[in-house]
Amino acid sequence: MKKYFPWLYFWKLTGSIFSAIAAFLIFILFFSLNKVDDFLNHSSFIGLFFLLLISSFLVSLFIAYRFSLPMKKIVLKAMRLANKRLFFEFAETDLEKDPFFESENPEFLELEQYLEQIKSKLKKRREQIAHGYEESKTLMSAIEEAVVSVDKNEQVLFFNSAFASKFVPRTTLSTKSSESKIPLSQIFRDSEILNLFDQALQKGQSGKIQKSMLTQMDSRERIFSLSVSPLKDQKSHEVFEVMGIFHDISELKWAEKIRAEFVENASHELRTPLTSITGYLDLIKEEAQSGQSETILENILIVNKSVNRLNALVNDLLTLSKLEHGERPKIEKINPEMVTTEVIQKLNLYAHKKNVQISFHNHGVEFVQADASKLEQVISNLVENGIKYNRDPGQVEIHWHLYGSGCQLIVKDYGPGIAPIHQERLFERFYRVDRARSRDVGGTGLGLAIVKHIMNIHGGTVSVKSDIGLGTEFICHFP
Amino acid sequence: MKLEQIKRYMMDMGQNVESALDHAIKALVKREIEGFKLVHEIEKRTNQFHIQLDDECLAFLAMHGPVAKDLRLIFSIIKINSDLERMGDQAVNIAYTGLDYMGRRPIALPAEIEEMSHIVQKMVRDSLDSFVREDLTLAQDVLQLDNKVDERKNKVFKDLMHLIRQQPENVEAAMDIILIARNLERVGDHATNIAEDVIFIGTGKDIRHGGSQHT
Repeated sequence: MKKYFPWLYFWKLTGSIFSAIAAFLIFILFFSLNKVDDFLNHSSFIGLFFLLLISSFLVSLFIAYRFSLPMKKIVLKAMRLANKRLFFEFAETDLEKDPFFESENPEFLELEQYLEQIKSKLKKRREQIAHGYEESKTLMSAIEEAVVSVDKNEQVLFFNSAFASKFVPRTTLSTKSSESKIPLSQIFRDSEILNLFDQALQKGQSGKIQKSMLTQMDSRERIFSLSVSPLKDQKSHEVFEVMGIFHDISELKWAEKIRAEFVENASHELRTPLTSITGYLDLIKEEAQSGQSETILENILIVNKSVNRLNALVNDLLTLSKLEHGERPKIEKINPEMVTTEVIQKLNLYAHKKNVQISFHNHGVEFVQADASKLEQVISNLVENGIKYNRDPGQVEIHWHLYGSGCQLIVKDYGPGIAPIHQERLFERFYRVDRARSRDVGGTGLGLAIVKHIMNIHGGTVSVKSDIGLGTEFICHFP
Repeated sequence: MKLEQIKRYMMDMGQNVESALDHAIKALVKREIEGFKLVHEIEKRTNQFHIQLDDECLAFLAMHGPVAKDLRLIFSIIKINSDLERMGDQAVNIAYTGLDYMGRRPIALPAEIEEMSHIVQKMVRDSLDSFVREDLTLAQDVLQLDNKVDERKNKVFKDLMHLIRQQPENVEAAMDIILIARNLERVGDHATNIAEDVIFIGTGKDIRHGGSQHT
């Protein structure tokens, strides 16, 4: 704290000097110059002189004290504005108990009032800042993007909870105290990211990159779009802070990939039967021209098969697109036993051909809330798959269970099973576990995607449990 | 160059080696020959990094005469530098052998090779992470992982010996896989060295070879 000129002592000193001079002048006035010698010889006059001196000194002291008190009061007020702790240390002296302390002096009163105004303004501003800070803090913790800001020395100033959970290792979080800062290079060691921050700091350039990174949450690689922007001082245009925002775009990339794959698959699936149709039609034409009639029928049957396949594919695609465009199911109470037996009757011939037995067990489910035609499609798709991917001889089991407030449909086969890496992609359109074999087995590759969509619009779920060599179990949960 | 810059430079080199390893392994697992060519490109850069980093370290030692932790740090960076360079070489070896392997009569790549490569990549990543964060627990974890790599390498050796006896016509392909397993295991060893250096920087304790000789 800066030391100010000690006015109090200054006034005390000047007061006493002035009073001494005044006393001396009075002394000269009252007694003529030639009587000075006599006077100096008289002890009573000397006593009077000292009495005058002391009394004037006391008077000046009092004036000085009165003069400096209001000043002190204002200093005290200003001190309170500037630094609370210092003020309380100071106020512990008995100054405030002084009876003169509260007496006002008009000029000082004015000054005091202004100080009071400054104080209330400051208080308001402080509240505003606190609210703003609270606001941005809530905002930062609520958003999904990871946000980090660094200072000029690339030390981390701030990060939000999303950033902490994604990039800051737990050990760093636990050892970090509130004062010590973490350098950015301790969190990222990728030179591209660090260079982007460097550039923002040194040249004031903002930048954007896409980067595939591992996060602290799991060991799956995620793709982030990182944008870095410098914060500049309004007057000097100097960069004082750099902010980086990490936006997780893995889902987006994934969706893009799936979409591209879908178009590729759909056109491929459509082209395959078309190729065989055109090929065999050419053959039939040649045969008809040359009069070879014995193989025509056989070839027409192949064309027919391809047309059927094309038909099934287009139908499935249409069903899927209807489901995706939010067709509302007509939900009603349905007897599961009735629907299931119908499906079994329809598929019995196919099952017989494949030497597969279908068995059906209802464990106390009286009704299910669903759309009848869609429920039939779910059961039929699952059972058909069960028959298709089975042993010879094989078995498919259909179970209805009560589960929670709703019920469960379980379709179980004893086929080859599905490896865990395929299980999560199984419900994608055109996804095949074994691409090479899919052509022999048949099917459009859309059955399970349709099942998933139907379950979705019913508010239910479908999941798969499978072990290689033991078989597969599809579980549909109706709410 | 300041110490901080030297560290940064070393991290760049580390990243370079990591990407070489990544390309080599991905090319091997996915059977894509293109990846192997990339490994050679990256190796050239790694070698430049190696020479440059050594020069910088030497200059720093000569001009600043560091003491205590800084001295340990610069000493370790020199060692880590050569470990990284050796890792890069191993990646190139994997690329060469992988290319040979793909030209031969195909035998299945054992699942252990893929597992090993995942563990080894994690070791390399964690050892470098532990260096920048001065995270001693992470460095300790790296040391633990080395055992897992060794287990898998031994399994691959045993299985392929058996295969060679059964199908002598596949001996070349089997030898290639054995070599790749050995290369991966060496990369793991280099990562272990880096982790040991990190512990040395942090604590001043030399824990190499069980730490018995120097305590």
